[in-house]
Amino acid sequence: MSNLLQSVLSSRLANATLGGSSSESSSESPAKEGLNDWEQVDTDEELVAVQSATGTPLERSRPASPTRAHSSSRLAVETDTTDFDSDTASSSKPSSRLRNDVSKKRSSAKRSKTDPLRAFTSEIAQHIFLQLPVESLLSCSGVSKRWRRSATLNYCWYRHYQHAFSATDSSLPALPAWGSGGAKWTRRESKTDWKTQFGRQKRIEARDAARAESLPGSGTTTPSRTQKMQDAGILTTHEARMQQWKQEEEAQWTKQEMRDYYKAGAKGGKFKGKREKGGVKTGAAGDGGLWE
Amino acid sequence: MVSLTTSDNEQFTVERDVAERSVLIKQMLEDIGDNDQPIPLPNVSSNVLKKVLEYCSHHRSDPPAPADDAEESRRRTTDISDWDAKFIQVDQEMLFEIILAANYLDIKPLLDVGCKTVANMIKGKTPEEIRKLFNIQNDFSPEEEAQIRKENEWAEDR
Repeated sequence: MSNLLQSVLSSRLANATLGGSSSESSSESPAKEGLNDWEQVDTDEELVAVQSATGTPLERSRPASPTRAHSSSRLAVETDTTDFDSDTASSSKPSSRLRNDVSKKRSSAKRSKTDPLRAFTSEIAQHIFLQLPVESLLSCSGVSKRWRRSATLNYCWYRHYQHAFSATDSSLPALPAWGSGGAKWTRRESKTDWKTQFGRQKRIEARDAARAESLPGSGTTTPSRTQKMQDAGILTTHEARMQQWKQEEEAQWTKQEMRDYYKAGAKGGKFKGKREKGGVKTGAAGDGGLWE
Repeated sequence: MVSLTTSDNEQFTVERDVAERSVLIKQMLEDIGDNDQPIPLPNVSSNVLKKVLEYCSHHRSDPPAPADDAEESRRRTTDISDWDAKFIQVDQEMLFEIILAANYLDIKPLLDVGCKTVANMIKGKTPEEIRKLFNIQNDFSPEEEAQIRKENEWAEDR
């Protein structure tokens, strides 16, 4: 947590010294804060993703001293990440193939100015990749290991997921995604593989569509509405819940992450209020077992 | 007039409204007040600044961008004007440098144009074509490539 705080602070500082931040206009600051939130998670996530890719359990492989990577300005964080990547990768699993990869990576990518995911800060990279359609993002995930595990691209998938499957129509109840209202990029979201989620949802959609075709007007009480919702790519509350639970089951949480999550939630304030109201009414159904 | 000094110690003198296309410079000018001292831009080299100033002077009389959130304005500027499209026809290294400079100098419309251009370069390409485009090495094993193909199957039959 202190790392996160420190990194946020240092990035603020960097912003301030660069003169790019507009701290005087208070109306803009909430948006800025949100941006910083996942931006930092983003950088951190790159590190975490590296670890799990080498096959070590997440708990054990948490970076021992990420402070080093975060201690200076944001610019330094970006460049340091590459070093840090290869360091941990080579130390955690000394297989020869990996070593080869690492050394190769090091020489070619030390200062890659041609790879947009390396040449740019995550902020700019998002600016670029958020303009891409799903088909292009699929291609991107097949470019290289770094692209595949990129938190920036994962965030793009998340945004596409939100756009395609979340009920934004005001006539429908908003997704009861727990904690964050569903549309906020939190640590939990950053842990989810949104490309897989997107694909899963697409498959479910296709299957449901096929089923609806073969059995016209069967089962459901309001087939027309359900069909309409499916066509629009909107989940029913039940589907959303089921999927959300599944996600929660899959997400693995360390003690530290839990602590961070709750701390972050309490700070927001919103989180607490919503939980109390909604949670009691629905018989704590949305709590997903985490409140036991 | 405003003087700007680049990372390679070259000095550019431009009119104030041109320089103020950059929010960074605009704020710096406000901070230092009436002062003839050149503004140092240690993150921008002369060949890039030349290009950036070309953009700024062409767009010097543009109305200020609406101050709503970046998301909105991003969506509205999906089209690149003819002049901008021609302006941004540079080699890839220069394109990336322009994007970085636009980000540093805080020139949103130029950043938009640059990012949009890179996105357009990626659009419609296969992974192999993207690798070639950005000089990225394929570090997947054949098994991993098969795995990715399997993961992406859902998108194929559409």
